[in-house]
Amino acid sequence: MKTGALRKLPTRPASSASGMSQGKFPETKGTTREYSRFWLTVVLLLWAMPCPAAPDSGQHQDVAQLNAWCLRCHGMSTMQYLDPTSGQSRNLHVDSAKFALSDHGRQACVTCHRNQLTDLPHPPATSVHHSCGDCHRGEKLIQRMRLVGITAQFNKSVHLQRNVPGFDCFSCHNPHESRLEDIARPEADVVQRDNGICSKCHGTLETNAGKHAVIPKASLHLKAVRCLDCHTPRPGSVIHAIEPAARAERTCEACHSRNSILLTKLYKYRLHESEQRAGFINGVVLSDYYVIGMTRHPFLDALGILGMGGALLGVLLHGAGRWLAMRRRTNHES
Amino acid sequence: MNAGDKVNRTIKQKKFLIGLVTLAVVAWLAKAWFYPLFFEEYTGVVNAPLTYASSKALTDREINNLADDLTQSYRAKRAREMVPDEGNTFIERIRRERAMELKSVRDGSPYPHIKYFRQAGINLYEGPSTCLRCHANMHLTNVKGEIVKVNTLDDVVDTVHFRFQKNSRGFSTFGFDGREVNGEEALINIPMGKIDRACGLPGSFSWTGWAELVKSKPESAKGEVVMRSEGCGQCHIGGNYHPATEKMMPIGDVPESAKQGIDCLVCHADIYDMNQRVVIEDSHGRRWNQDRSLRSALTVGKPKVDSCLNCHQHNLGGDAFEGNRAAKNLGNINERFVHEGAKRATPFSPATDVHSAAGMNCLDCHTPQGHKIPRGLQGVDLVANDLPEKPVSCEGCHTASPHLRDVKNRAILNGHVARLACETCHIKELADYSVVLRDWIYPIWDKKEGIYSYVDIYQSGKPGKGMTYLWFNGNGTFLANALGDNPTGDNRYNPLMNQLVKIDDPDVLAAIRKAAEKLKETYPDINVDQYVQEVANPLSPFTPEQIESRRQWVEEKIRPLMRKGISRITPFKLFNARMYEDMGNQGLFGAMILPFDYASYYETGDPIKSVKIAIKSPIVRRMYEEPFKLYMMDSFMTYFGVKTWSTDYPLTANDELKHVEKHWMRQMASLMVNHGIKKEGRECRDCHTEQGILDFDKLGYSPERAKELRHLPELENKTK
Repeated sequence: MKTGALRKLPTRPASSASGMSQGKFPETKGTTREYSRFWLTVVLLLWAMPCPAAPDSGQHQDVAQLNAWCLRCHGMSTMQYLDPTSGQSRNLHVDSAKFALSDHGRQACVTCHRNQLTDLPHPPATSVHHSCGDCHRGEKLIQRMRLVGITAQFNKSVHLQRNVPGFDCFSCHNPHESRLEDIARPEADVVQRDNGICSKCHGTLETNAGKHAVIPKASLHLKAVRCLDCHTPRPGSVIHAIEPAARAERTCEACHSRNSILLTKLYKYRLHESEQRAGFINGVVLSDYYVIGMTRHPFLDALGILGMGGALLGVLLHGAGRWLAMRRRTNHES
Repeated sequence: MNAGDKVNRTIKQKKFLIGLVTLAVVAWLAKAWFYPLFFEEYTGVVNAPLTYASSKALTDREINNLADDLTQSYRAKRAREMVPDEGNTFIERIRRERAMELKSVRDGSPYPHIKYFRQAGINLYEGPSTCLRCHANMHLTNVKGEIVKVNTLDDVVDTVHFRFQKNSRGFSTFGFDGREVNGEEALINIPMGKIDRACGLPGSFSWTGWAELVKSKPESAKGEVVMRSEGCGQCHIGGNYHPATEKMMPIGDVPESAKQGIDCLVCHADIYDMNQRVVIEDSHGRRWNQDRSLRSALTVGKPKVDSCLNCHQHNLGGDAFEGNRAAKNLGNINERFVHEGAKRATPFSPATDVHSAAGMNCLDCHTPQGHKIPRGLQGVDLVANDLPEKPVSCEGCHTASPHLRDVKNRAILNGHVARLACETCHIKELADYSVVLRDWIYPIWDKKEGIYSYVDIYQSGKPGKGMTYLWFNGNGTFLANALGDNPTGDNRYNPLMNQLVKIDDPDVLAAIRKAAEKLKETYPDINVDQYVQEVANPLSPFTPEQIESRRQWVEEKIRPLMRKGISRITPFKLFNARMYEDMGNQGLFGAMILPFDYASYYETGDPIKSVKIAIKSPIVRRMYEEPFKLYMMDSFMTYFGVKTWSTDYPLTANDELKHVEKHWMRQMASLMVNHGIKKEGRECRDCHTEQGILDFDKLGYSPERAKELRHLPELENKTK
């Protein structure tokens, strides 16, 4: 595939890579031919790197400059058009700040988008990658195993089974923004973000309220859990195997029970999150139980101590009263 | 003892009750009877029953003739549309006569009210009372999407078209003190709108220049005096002797007689005779006449483009605009003036606007809610907005991806939407007669109209000259300066210290010099160099210290407002005027502008005398008194960036002006331009070259970025 893309480019004349190798931006007054040379150099340079590349800082600078060239246009937040076939807006915008922070932020745009980018505005550029696995394969065994697992789940998903045209990893995961850290964000954020992905094609809460009428307080549910949590099979973490609506989770106790399916899904990172928030003792050992002194709130602690002291005092006074009364009675009788 | 107490208590209760009732009655009497009397006495405004000569009862036979006539003229119009001109009048006539007999044309019932009036036995149009016989209530869809029933008259009276001001929130304007006009931080809400603003363009308040009769001596009349009409009232739907002044006060309402003066037909009649819109005088005072003929009334329906343009072409598109219908019907008596120079010269006509050419109605974009008409979420001026929540925007129809045709460039064109308003490319320029600089101080004789007229020392609609490009986030300052900031800039962009306070274009300076030299022929005292300097640098009255504190003020109070929201580069029409100002009430951004009395200004060409007459008007006197100061003027001045309103009346007992000086406004106003839209937008090279229309440096880009934006490699390759 990669070699195919390479072949489309014109052959490279000798010693033309000056702009790039000196870490400078290419001369903007170049002819189309010079552009071709430039891009060829870039591609060759990137080709020489392992994929995904872990460039050193010098290369990183080059990549940043190279990407800045693309982001001149693709950084425009409204760079989009109405696609005549679908009638939907097709967004060509890459948020440069988010891209820089993303896991792919050190990649050059042309690593993935390759053909005919020389004459601007260029014709639609196709990405040479359609799945995460295209790049992520020469890594650690464990990561590779995970990817194999995800691929297997994904192949079972309703989107693939029903041959939704053009459906690939990037239909849901924006490679320009994705960050591994984001999977452990606060639940509310995760719900909003993940449901946002589904609603891009399936409509919003409002448009889907009717279909979810079977759920009590549907709108609250739709805000508090992810679509995925019900629309993937139990048990286990199989969120990439999205099932048809007919097979969605419909029993209340699946979630509303001690052994909630959410523990393996939405709440998977809760322990981790709670440790980060409250520390190991309070967050992990004590979980959500409250013990005076293991404070989270000094006022509550004070109140607790006051309550306990008060109860103790009450018991003592009561006991003392009983004892005095008994003594008086005994004295009287005697 | 107990019984006596009880009796006492009952008596006390009774006394209290009687007292309460008396108080209520007195309060009601005071509000209904004494207050209006007191109000009229205090403000000097007049109310009286309004009658109109055109409101005549017709006999059945006359009505039948009129109905036939209207129907025939409608059919003739249809036939004219069906049969195009082909150069042979005979053939055209024959074909059109046949077309008028077509069943589809004959069956068309353009004016359903002919039938309704016959059914209701109406043979006289008396104004709102006639309309309200059937339309006492109406249904409208409110902001929440609910259908509600409202009282029609109340709905109209509450519109800006009638009251010209609102004392509620909903202005997109901010004071120079950093607070939103009538916003959350406002101490008290004050009436704001056209009603209480002297505008540099008409040169007057709506009270001092509501309905004026001017003795003109036009060339055509060969020295004879011809009475002419002038004043703000010509464009407003109220027919009273003064604007809806009562609505400005915390209590009270306009009297029923004034409500009956509302001109329903100017908006709703298909055939409205603008020749009737002239000033008339009766025993109570002067007011604007209306067409209340049955002929007009029978043609009522929903407002059409021409209905809006009856008024909204007056100085928006410019009276001088050749397509202005109203300017061709100036009056049967007391003709109105045709003013040269337009506020923003973006006429809405098929030749000048793509939406007009497409046959669109004003209300397609300005979708009304009852009688309230939205003006959109954006605005730089203090014109009140009836529906501040309701957008009027290009995106409403054109989506956020408006460019469809040019497949190669559509994405990059749409990309520009993030930084540019649609108008930036799709209004290439304004008409030449857009007035940029207007001097009221040195009037000269206008032979054609036969009056002394203010002088437009510079008119232009060209980018970089009469039109400029500013960052705009939808808001404006108290003196109509666009607010917005370069999202990538670091405080480099500062129009209140740069673009709007300096004229440095050599062509413009040369034109100003030429105009000054011409003025010198009439006013030999003028020092041309000084004149040019005063116009080109409106901050010249300030000392360097004052300019420095103004710069700091902008950074401290205005910069946060500029940073709000999303800013886009947007075209604005520039405007400045020189008028007399009360220097007792001045700040770093301007001083209180004093109005002119139209009649004496036009007749004598003596602006000082004219100012004296105007400020003797009772309501201006009241402005300089304590109650008005506390009620609104203090608040008004804080928006101006001045702590309090000085009640030091600028006229001495000897009839001399004091602390009054002539000045240009300290910064040019920037007026929004949204009409006159062209289908073809601008090309890349119109902006991204050294000679481009956008001054990227002044727009706050860093020198490196500005250079990049002026030299797009794509463009430079193509030229090779």
